[in-house]
Amino acid sequence: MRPPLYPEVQEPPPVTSSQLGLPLLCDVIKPTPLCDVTVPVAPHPRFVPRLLPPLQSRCGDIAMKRERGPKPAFGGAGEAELGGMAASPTGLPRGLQRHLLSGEFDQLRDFPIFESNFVQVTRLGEVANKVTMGVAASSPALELPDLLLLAGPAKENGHLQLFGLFPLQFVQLFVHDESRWQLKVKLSNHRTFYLQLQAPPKTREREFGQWVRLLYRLHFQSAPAVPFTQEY
Amino acid sequence: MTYAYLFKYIIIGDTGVGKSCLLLQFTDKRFQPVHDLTIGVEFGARMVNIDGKQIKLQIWDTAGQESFRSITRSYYRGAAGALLVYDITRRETFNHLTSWLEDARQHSSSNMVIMLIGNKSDLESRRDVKREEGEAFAREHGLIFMETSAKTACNVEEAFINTAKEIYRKIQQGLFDVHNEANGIKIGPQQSISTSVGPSASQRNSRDIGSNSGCC
Repeated sequence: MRPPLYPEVQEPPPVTSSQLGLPLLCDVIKPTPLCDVTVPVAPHPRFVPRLLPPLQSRCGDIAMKRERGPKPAFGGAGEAELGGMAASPTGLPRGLQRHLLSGEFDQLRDFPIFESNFVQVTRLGEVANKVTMGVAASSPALELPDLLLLAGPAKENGHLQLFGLFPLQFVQLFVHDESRWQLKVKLSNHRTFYLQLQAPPKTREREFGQWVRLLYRLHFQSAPAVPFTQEY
Repeated sequence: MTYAYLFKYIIIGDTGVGKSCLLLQFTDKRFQPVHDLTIGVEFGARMVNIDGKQIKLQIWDTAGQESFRSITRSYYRGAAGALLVYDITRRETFNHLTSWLEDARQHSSSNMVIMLIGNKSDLESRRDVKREEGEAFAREHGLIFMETSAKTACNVEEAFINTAKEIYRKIQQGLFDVHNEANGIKIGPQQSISTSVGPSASQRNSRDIGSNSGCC
C-alpha cells in the first residue's frame, strides 16, 4: 500500500497576533544579529507560489553578500555537517539516512541529510501522520541543501518509507508556530501542510532551533528571497 | 519484506496524462480523479511475482510539466524500466513522445525496458490517437505498447508487470548485469530468495499475470 503523502490536512488553530509578536529571528538565530532585518510576509491563504530559479542560484556568492556578523560554521554540504548543522544531535545517522543507506535508493545513498521526526497536525491540532522530513544536498559542492525528503511509516509494516523528493526550489518552509515547534511546508503545487517536531523535551528546543536556523539560511542565503514568516 | 530482485521504474510523459493515477491504481488499487501536480518525485512500491520470484518494483513518479523537465532528467539514472505515458485524448501528448524518448535514451542505461502506455482508454468517445498509431510508434522505436485506463484499472497491472517480465527476461538472457547498480536492478538479500514463501502482508497484491486481460 502506498500511504498518503500528505492527506488533506487543513490549517491548524490560527496563531494569534500576540503569538506573532513572540520571539523574532534575532532571538532564535545566534550568533548572527538580525534585529534590523525586515522579514517579508507571505500572502495568505491564496498565495500562488512563483517557481524559483535553478538550484545553482541557491548558493554561492549571493549567500555571502547577505551574510551579517560572524560567518556560521559550515563547509560544503557534502561534509559531515549540512549547512552548519549535524545530521543528528548524536552525529549518528538517523532513520531516514539509515533507510537510504540500506541500499534500495542507490541514487540517494550518499546524500548528507539533516532530518527530524514530525507529526502532521490537523485542523484540530490532532496528530494525523508521522512524518520524517529531511533536507539533503545532491552534491558535495553545494553549500546549502537543495532537496526536501519526506518519509513515513509504511502502512503494512511500519518501516520507514520514502514518499517523495522535492527540489527545494519548489518548496517554501516557514516557522508556523514556534511555541508548538511547528513548521509549515508549502509546495509549489499549492499543497500546504503543517508539521510539529517530535523530539525529547531535553533536545526539542535545540533541534527546532536548528530548523529555524536552516530556514533562515535557505531564505536569506538564497536568491531571490522567499517569505520566512507569514501574516494572518 | 524479502525479494529476489528490486527493479527501479520511472514514469515519464507530459503533464496530465495520468502518471500519478497509474501509480496510485497499481499500488493502492484506487483512482483519484483530481490529483495535485507532481513536483520532484513521488515514490511507490509493490511486490510482484514473476516466474515464481518475488520482485519489488520501486517506482519513481516524476513531474511532467515542462518547467520540471531538466530536474526530471536527473532521475532517469539507474532505472531498469520506464513507463512512457501519453493521453489518447490529447494528440499533443503523443506528439511529444519523441522528445521524452530522447531524454530517456540519453540519460539511462541502453538496456532499460520502455513500456509505451496510451492512457485514458476509458474515454473512447474522445479518442484523438488511434491505437494503431501507438502500436506503430512502439514498433518503430522498439518499445512495448499497451493502452490502459487508470480509472477502470484496465491493463494497469499488466503494464507494470509485463515491463517487469521483460526486464526479468533480459536478466535471464544475460543482457542485464545485475551487479551493476546503474542498470536499476538490485539483488535482494540472498537468504530471502530461497525462503521467500507465502504472501506476507506487504505482498498481498502480488500476482503473476499470465497474459493481457484485453479489457481495453
